[in-house]
Amino acid sequence: MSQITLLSSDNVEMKVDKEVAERSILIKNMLEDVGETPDQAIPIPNVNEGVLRKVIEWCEHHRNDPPPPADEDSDSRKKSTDIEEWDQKFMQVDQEMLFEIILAANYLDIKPLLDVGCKTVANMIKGKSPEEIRKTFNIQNDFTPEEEDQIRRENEWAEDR
Amino acid sequence: MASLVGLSQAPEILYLILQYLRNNDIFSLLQTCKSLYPACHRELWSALVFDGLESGIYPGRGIKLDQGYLKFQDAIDTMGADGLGFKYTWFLGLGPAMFEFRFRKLELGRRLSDLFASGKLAPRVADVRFHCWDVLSEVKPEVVQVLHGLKKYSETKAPEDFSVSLRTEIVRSLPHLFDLEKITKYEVAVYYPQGSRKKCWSTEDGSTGGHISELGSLLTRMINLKHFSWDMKVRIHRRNKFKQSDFLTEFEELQAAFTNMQRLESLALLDYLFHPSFFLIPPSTVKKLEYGGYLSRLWWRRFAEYPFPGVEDMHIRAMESSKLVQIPRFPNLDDLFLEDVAITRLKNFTLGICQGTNSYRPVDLGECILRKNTGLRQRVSTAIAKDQAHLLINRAQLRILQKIENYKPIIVNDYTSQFMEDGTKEDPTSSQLTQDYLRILIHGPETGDLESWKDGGEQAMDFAQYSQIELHSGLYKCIDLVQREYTSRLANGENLDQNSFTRACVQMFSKWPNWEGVHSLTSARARAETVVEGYARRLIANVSRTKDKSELVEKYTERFFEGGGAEVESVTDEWVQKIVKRIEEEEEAK
Repeated sequence: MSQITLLSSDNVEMKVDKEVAERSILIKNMLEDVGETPDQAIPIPNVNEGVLRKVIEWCEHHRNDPPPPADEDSDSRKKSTDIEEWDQKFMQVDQEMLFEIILAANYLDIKPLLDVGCKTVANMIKGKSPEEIRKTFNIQNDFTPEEEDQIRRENEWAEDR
Repeated sequence: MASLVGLSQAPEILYLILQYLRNNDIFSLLQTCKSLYPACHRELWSALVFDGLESGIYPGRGIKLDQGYLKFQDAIDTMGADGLGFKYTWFLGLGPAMFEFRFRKLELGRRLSDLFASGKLAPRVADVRFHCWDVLSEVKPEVVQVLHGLKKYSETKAPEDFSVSLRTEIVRSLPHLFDLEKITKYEVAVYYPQGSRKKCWSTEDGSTGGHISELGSLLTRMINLKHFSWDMKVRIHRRNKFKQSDFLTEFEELQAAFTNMQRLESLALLDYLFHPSFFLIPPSTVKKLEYGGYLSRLWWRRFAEYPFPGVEDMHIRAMESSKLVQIPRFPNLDDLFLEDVAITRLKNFTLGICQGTNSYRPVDLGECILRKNTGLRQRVSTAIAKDQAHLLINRAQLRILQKIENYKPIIVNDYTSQFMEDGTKEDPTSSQLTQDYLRILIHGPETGDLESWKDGGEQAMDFAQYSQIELHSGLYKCIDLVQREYTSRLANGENLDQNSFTRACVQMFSKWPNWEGVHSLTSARARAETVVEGYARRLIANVSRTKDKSELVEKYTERFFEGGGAEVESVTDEWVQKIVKRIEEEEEAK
């Protein structure tokens, strides 16, 4: 099986099966444009070694996944946040790594990985009060009390109570 | 450093996360800090969904009933529409709760209507769902003012800028309530029992021809329709008694309305369209088809012959027996084989699993589709194997239930004569009944087969019903005659009592068997019936065990998937043996 080399933003080269790398639509398109398997490493300027290794680990595990069903239930607006077990464990990383993976998946155009990342973050937000969310994600409240009151009144119809 | 707040620099990712959140969570996140506020605010206002009872318009995004509606209204009244996020609203959901009496009083409809008129609320998509009993033309106009407002707004828009998705039970009044050209999705599920129909249609009950024409002419005006779905909420067999040829012109018009549709992409006929034999040829634009319901054999033949050019995706549902008011006791599933189908271009095909014993569909449908459609995905063949297994196991289950029911008289007769011979004889033990019943379930009766016992049973029941009427009227006549005789005898002062009256009736009725003999026969029979019935119930409970059933389905799914076959009779026997074993073990344990 042919392999290609990826070059992380911190200049580390990584060999990876072409089929695995092609889970990234960005890389897939790039390879298609070039035509042949390139001899030189493909630079991935936005992703450092640690993150790129995680992303490759995910792609290795999901190398044989069938393509996502085209527009299945496209008219259904229901979004499930269920995550399969392996992916859940995969996403058990510190927050910085989690958001780095999400940004890398977005940049490399790996839709299923981006979805898993977004679902993981959504699950961390669900059911929490604003204060609990701030604590979880280390957010500073920069609203004045008047502003807080204003935005509450504008939007509190969305509350579940 | 990568963080949640950092994502405000990449709002497209933030929006992906927000998609997975409910209103309440977005509202919480919106209050955390200034960086996250804009995306959350925009997302929250992008979809306004008044679907308090969650009819599924936009799961998680419905505004909570009562409190949410009141707060929404309050925000408009105190802060003014301009200060709110209406400019972001592209989706508007109006669920059944919007049209219910108690929420109508809130006057939210009037406010939304004003917002449409002023151009402050300008959605690109509206999803409207309501029940026929809430929206009728003869009720007060404030009920539907939000729809009238929406209609006026809709008329100012081009089809590419605004579309309506509609789910309801009515066909009538829609031209008054909607700008039909903007409807891209119409899901209708009409009621068909007597009395409810007039709420769905403009014409009176019983006017089937009128209903067919009404639907046809309505669809002709929905020129941008992309999805049409038809279903019936309640179905009765009795109303199918008309012949398809009675309304030939109407059916032709309905067919023409469909044929002329330029944009229809998906068609779901979840029940028969007016008549179980009316096979509607879908327009050539249709890619996705869904069929279901109680369709006739003729319909299935037409289905098999039609090539469905353009259709790539097909879903066949099993008939949902729960919707039937009258269920034929043992519908004959065994004998409809298509042998071949003309459709060849399917990419995707699913069969709704037949769960109940009343599911109805051609036995070899899955096989035929699989054989002719080589472009089908791998998982489809697994699903078809599973469906075949379900169908086989359901037929076997039905077979066992038929046997238990139809062989019951043989055993009852046997015990009746034993009880007649010896009145002191004790009830048979469970293991005796096991032997008697299971012998007959596996080996069949000594004389005749299941069919002849079934026929015999039905014929005897006919005789019995006739005799019952005859004997009743005979006895009634005797009683009447004795009553007249007694009137004059009592008037003449004779000393007569109840017993003598009964005796007189019996004497008159004496050409029939004497009462004493009849009495002992009936009580012996009743006793035999009680024990056998109790045991039959135990057997039926065993046949209904879901664990056994799923084990068998699993086993035969594997067999079908590997290309093997199986006969109903052998599965039936295998299953019965399984039951025998369990009952014997239970008995031993006792």
